[in-house]
Amino acid sequence: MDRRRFLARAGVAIALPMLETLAPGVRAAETARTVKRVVCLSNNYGVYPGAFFPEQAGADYELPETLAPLAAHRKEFTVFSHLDHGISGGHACVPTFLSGVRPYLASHFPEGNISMDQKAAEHVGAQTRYPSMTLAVNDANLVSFTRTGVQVPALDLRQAYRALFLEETSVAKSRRSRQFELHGSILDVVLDEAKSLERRLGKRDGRKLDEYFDAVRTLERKIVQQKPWVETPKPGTDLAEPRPGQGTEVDLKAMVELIALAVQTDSTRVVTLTSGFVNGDFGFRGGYHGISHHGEREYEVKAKIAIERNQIAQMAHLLDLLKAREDPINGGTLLDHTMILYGCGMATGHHSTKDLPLLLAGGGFKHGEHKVYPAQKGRRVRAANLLLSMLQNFGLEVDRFGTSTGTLTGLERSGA
Amino acid sequence: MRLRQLVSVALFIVLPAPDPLRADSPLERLRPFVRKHCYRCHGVEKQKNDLRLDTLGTDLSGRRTLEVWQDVLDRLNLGQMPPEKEPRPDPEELAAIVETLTALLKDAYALRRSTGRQTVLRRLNRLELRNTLRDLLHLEGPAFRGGAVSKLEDTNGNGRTSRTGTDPVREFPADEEQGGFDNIGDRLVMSDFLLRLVIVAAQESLVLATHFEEKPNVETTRYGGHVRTKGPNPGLEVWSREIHPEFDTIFQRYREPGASTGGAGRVAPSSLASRGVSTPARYRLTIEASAHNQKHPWGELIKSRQDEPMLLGLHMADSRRGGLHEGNPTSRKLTEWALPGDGSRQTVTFETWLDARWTPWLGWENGPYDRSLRPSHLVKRYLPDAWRPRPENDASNEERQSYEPDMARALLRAGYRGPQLRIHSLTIEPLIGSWPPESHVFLYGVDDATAVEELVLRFAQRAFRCVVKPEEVTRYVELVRSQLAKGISRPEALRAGYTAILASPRFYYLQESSGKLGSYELASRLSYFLWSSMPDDRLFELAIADRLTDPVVLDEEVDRLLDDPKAASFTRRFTERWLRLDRLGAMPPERGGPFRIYWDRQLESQMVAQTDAFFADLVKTNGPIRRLIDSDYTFLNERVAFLLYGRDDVWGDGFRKVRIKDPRRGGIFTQPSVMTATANGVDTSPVVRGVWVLENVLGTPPSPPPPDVEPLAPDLRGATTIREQLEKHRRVEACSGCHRTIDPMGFAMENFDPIGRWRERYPVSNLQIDPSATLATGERVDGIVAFRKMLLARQPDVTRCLCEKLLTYASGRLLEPGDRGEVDRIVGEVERKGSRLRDLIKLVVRSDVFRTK
Repeated sequence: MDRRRFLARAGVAIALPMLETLAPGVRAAETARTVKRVVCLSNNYGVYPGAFFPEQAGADYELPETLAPLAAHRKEFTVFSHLDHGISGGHACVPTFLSGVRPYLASHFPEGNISMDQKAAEHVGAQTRYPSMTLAVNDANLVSFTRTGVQVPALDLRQAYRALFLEETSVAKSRRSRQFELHGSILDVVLDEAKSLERRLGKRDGRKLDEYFDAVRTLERKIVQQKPWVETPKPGTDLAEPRPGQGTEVDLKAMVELIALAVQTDSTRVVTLTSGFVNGDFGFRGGYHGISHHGEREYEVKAKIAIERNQIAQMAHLLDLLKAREDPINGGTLLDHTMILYGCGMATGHHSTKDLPLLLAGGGFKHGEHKVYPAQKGRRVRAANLLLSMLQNFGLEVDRFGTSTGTLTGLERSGA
Repeated sequence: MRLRQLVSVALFIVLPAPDPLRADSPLERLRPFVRKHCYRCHGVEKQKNDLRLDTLGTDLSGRRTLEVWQDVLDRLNLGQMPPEKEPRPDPEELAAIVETLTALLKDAYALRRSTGRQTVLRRLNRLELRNTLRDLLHLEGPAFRGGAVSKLEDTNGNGRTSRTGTDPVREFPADEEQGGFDNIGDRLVMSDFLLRLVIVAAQESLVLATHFEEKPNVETTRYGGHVRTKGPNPGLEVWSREIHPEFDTIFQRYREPGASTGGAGRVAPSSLASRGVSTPARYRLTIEASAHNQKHPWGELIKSRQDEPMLLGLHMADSRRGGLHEGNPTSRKLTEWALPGDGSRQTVTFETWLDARWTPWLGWENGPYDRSLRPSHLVKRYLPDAWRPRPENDASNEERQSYEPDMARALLRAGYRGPQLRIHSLTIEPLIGSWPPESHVFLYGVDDATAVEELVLRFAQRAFRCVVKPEEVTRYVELVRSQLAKGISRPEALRAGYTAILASPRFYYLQESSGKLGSYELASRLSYFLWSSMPDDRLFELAIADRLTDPVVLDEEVDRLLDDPKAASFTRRFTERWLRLDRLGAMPPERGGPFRIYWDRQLESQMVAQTDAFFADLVKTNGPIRRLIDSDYTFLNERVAFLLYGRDDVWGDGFRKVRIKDPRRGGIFTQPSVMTATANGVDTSPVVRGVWVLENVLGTPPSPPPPDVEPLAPDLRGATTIREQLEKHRRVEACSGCHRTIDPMGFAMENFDPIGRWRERYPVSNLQIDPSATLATGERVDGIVAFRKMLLARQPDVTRCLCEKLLTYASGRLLEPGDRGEVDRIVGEVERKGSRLRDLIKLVVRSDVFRTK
């Protein structure tokens, strides 16, 4: 504990070659508790299962073709078999990756279809510049949803870089501060109007208007939270602004490196990234969707494996980066306190949603195994249990998330 | 309180525990079956998997009870229960049980969704917000054009939308939808995220409406002689300029997206084509043009329409997105004129708004087009004396390159006797009337003399869509005052007040009180139904005079609103929602793939425009509803006709009514837009299209599949056809119930490929397509023609479904079983009147569903 505190303080002083300053989120009060981060990597078309899931269970499994780039990290990740959300609906299930809840059924759940990353972001609040970052490389990011079911728009490579490192002009900053102030006054007025309106409404309309009240109050709170960040300088970097459009391999690698920096500078603790495919990647022609409908044709199967293998390779790259850097807040390495989840809400290209591809690395869990859960109906385990375990590990005191039935059995924290 | 608790506890003790399957519950019918097959493991003695069915309640309004019964149904469907070692239930008994339980659960879900047949406080969706800001603030420009889709522009198909430009809702996420509709009050959600976007959209729009700058000093510009001075690539157009200094000549139809580059066949002042107009404003465009040789002797080589007048088209496009180049996705046609083909000089004018950087351009809509026709061919055939052979390949570069220009000069000097359009001049005249413009005066008054109270009240009145008392706007006036007190300028302070009004729930939500709607409420329902926007002055006046409750006035207003250009929002959005065209672009074909023309020729917007034109025509003419099922005409432009219908007899970019002789192609339901939206850009599925027919044409949606059903994974190497797979699928008991109904509907449409073209064979496997099927009724349908006949025989069902969709769209709520009577009444009445579309719309507006909250 003492050592951790020491490192935390020392961390501020450690000279980081690329970084001039650390984000001000690091405050004495919060260093008392371990700070966790979560990075979710996804795609929109599932995987080719034959090359993803190992054949043997336990620690001595043979690495399948798609997972091969993780060979150096065998001890640092877990691959899960037979976990899913217990729902069907093909492409419509892609957005359920981090919630287990289909958007149109959100009203049946106490927290709607909020995604795990946004739930974690609520917990972080104003401690970092960005409570979460939703990112996309060559495809749409469909997995981040707020409590009210709004999909969080994604940043591309360039936007992400600017959000992290580009300092606004002082004119822009003061304009932003004025805007915050004005929005605050406007919210006071509309809240007042909503209250007088409320008295005239029936029960159902009143419930609907509650959403509005909630929106006003949340926005007020966010303005209060964001205000101090306007004047807080962003961390500097030697890294030049990346040029997107160089193929998914290059673009995704650049994005992963930005994620590592975002974590290292504590600009955010919650990241979600979806990546896709552009015609010509890895020497393959076509589009991701068409390839995913491979129908077992050789060319398409090869292309699909190549796409997913690159996603895994970039995940491995992220592991490398986070492992090599010391955690300035907690001590140890960044990887020790950063969970990296890979997966998709649709299992395969032909719309199956059974047996989702799921990999978890880092974050202080015991790793190194291929965990195989029961495949029989009635004994199957919900993937939401994994999401719940991750949220608890993140520091949330919750015992239910979405369709979870408990934490994920067999997934344990290391040391602790 | 305590006493009551005691009593209830006592009662509980005294009475024997009631059988939860009470005799008065319809679930009672299941009891013998459940007792026989389930109690042994899920009863008093054993509760395997913690499940006990003998004590399970029958009140399906409880979520937990509902979930367990759903689980029971799922397991019966999947044949997982009873387990294999137990005796199998009698198949017929099982089928009956499954049917009963399915129906009961369906009702229970409907009840859970029920809003008591009330429209719940409905916020504006993003399209309604954009239209309302347009009409409230008198905004103009391409971002506010009518008939815009609620989907945002996604021109490169990578799922990312354009976030630049003046569209105030460009950053808004898609609105929540239910049953395909994105205007259901109960479903539309509010969030802090959205509220911030609304505030920002309001601020931006208010700035757009503000004009403190001097009256723009835009001169009228006349471009004469050579209107176009640069480009296109060398061809007759360019060589003609050398010879004729006094006009531009168009020899051919402009090429369409993807065909080429260089903008051949498009005439615009070159400076405008590259930079557009500098000042956004309304402009009057005056064109002097002449059409020559409509009838001509060179018809053997120049295939033109000698039988119809030559059509001069006026278009506009954003100069930043490619100017005159064919690939410019912003290009759209404004109008066209028929010119007499006798060479007489005509002057035509058109008024339109042009945003900054936009350019107008002219083209020949029905001109001839033949890529391979060169000047030398014409000279050889018609001026043999001037002809010389093409230089051999070993000739010098110079010699070879000067050959076609020489031939062209010979041709033009001798007198080109083929058809041509000449553009003599283009005049662009800004129409800036009063200054500052109306949008500005509405916000700030003519000068600073207008009191803040008055301005705010006037603004709120229109924004809240009803009469507002001064004391109701005090809080907004105070906000303005407090801003002024802080030293903020008057315009900025006023805008703060206006922004608050636009972010207030009285603007962003439609205000309706329970029961019969009042005049203002009706005015808004009507305008949001037919315009997706706020009421105009006329509707306000009628509301103030309380005349909208008069059915005759209501009918007149429906006519007036539908005949207004703003009704484009209705035809576009309603068809988008009813036919689920919003799915276009969600799973589009790939660039470079087998359906690449979808992108290369920008077909998505063309498909939607076709359906739009077809539906709008039926609305306009009060056409028979059965035309939606079958018609001997459709609407086509050249691109759709040629690329999707395989026809080369439709010329030009504008959609027009075209007779079709092919009985496979009539109606709206198998148009390329629908066939694309029900495919996934890669292949087609009879299941998806079958479900679509049941949901949107016949109004009998099938139950959702049981969970855990694995989707079909076709083996594209040719091992099995989709038909064989589905036949196997239908043999599974649990699946057959629904798929007997679904699959045949979809098979009839298998001849349409993923972008709606006709095909006889499947790709890859090259197997012949068999579109025949036997419907659940036993009726045999051997393809799309027979399928249409079957639909015509069921026209009342189609009308009912359409009526339900219209009512849903118009009222902003889903229909419930209790609405069935009203629907039947409307359908009966419209049938008595001859089953026509506009009549149906009027009956919808007159209905209780529409006129009641």
